[in-house]
Amino acid sequence: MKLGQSFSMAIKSIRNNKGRSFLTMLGIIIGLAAVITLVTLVSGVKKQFMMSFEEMGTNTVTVEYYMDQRDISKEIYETSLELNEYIEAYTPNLSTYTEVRQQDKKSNCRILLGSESFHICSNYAILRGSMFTHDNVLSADRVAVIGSKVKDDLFNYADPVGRSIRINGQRFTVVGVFEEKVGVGNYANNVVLVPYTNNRLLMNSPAISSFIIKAVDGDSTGKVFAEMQNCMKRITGNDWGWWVSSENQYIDFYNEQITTMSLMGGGIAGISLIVGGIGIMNIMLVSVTERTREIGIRKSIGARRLDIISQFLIEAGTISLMGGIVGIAVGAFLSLILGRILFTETKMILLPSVPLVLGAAAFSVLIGMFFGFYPANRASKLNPIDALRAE
Amino acid sequence: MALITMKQIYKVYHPGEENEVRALNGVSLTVDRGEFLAVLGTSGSGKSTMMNIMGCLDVPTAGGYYLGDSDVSKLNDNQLARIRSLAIGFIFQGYNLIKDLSALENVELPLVYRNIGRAKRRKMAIEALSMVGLENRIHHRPSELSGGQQQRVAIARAISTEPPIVMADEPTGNLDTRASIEIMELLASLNRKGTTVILITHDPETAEYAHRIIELRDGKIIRDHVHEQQRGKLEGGAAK
Repeated sequence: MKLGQSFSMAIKSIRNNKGRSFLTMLGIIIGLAAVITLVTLVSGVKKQFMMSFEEMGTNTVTVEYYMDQRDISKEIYETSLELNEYIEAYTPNLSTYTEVRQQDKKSNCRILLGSESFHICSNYAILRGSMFTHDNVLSADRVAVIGSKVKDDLFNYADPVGRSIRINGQRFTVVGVFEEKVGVGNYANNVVLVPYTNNRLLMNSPAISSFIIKAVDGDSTGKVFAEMQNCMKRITGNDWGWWVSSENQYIDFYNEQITTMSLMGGGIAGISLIVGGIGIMNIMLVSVTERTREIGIRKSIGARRLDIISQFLIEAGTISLMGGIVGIAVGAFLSLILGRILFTETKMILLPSVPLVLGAAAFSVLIGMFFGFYPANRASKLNPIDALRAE
Repeated sequence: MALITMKQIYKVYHPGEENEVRALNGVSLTVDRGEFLAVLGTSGSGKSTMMNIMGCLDVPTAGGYYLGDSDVSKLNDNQLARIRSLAIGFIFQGYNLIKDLSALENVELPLVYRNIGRAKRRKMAIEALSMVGLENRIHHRPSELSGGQQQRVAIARAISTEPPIVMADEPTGNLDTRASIEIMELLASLNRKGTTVILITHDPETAEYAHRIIELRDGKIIRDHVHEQQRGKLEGGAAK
């Protein structure tokens, strides 16, 4: 039949009982707003994590040795050669803080010492000029690639490529500028990268004891991770004094955390939706009681059970869909505000995704229908004679 | 063939219990197509039960009830709803209009349940409303109409599907004399157009409109006679 008819009846009935209908919707509104906000927030947090991991570079293994002042570059190099097919790039990774000058300007920067593959391993992109070469590394040339903040601090808008800077009083020529890393703050941009062979010139403790290795893919990362652990055990004969870590480990860990968060949030939101649904059931039962006579009239003039059921189901579905739409709007608004508050640095705009919105709308209708079925069925079973006698 | 045939109908409430009530106690009756029948009785006589069974709102405890040649005494809810939808129009004492719907929408409702399309439905409903003289009130809600007008809407609703039988349960019970006369005249004219009208009433005066009156007492028919005045009219008419 009659879908249109039932639908317009539903709208009428909702309009005639505005206050009650709104209270009924409130449960669904709160439930869906909670679901939308939680899911959006969790996905935002996840995105944020992924962004910061991407900044560090995925599929990387970090090796550090701190038992003593020993240089382990030979051992790491040899192990890397053995793992050649799993490894995309490899670099020593030393750092120190020191003052950098350019004419009269000066800035305190993080000096990074690495190979010509450093930018691959640490996920830097070259904006201007170029990376220094393997030859630069071999001959310990005094060349540097600078981060975006160093460029801003020391050169303003001038092109730094070809100009020189002084690190610890030593003159270095700028050959390239890194693209700005967004989302991780100044830490990653306030850097000056030089060939690691300048270690004796710049470091108090020049031992090369820290490395970043980038594997070709996720599976290889595990292999490299394990082999590097073996290598360190072999070198030290110990389980301590060194540290091998993999970004993928962290990603797995955080993913697990986020999944736990989602499940917990989803559970809470789910409970509030069920409570909302029970509210609908309650009000529909009241409505059936109030409209017993109407049901009797409808039955006496030819309505079958299915007609009555569909009328009340559509009414319940309509109420909860309306509640759902309001709930989605409230959830989107809350997400937006929370995003502003939580993700100030990245300026990420937090909004529910389209599938989430559509899914939530469909789900709200389902909830209404599910919890509306019992009252609707009860209405349809009313005996027309008794129903007509009701006041 | 008779339109309605009741054979030894019993309706017993709470059978076997202390408060057992034999609302109908072996009623047999045939009604022909085109009759105007009044079921007269005091309260407790079983006339409401009679109307429920005749109107397919209820089924008898025992006995056979035939509409045409089909036995409807053992049908289930949905089958009864189907019969009501196709064969019977109801008029009640309290009008029983749905208060949130306009006169037109109320009259359309039985057509909705018969799956008649929107345009045709509207046309049929407006026709029915003009027949009761309410073509200018079709968008009024029941609360905006007088009792007599509401009952006329109810009549329009009962006849909108053009059913062979119209059942009127105390249709003038809530109305003043003038409105009562209007309503009864409407039912009479309906009957003249060929509809079988069954009137349930406690009021002998109202029953006068019918051609045939059966009187119920304690669940039994105690009198079944063709109304003298009507017979006079009919015979007089025939004589001319």
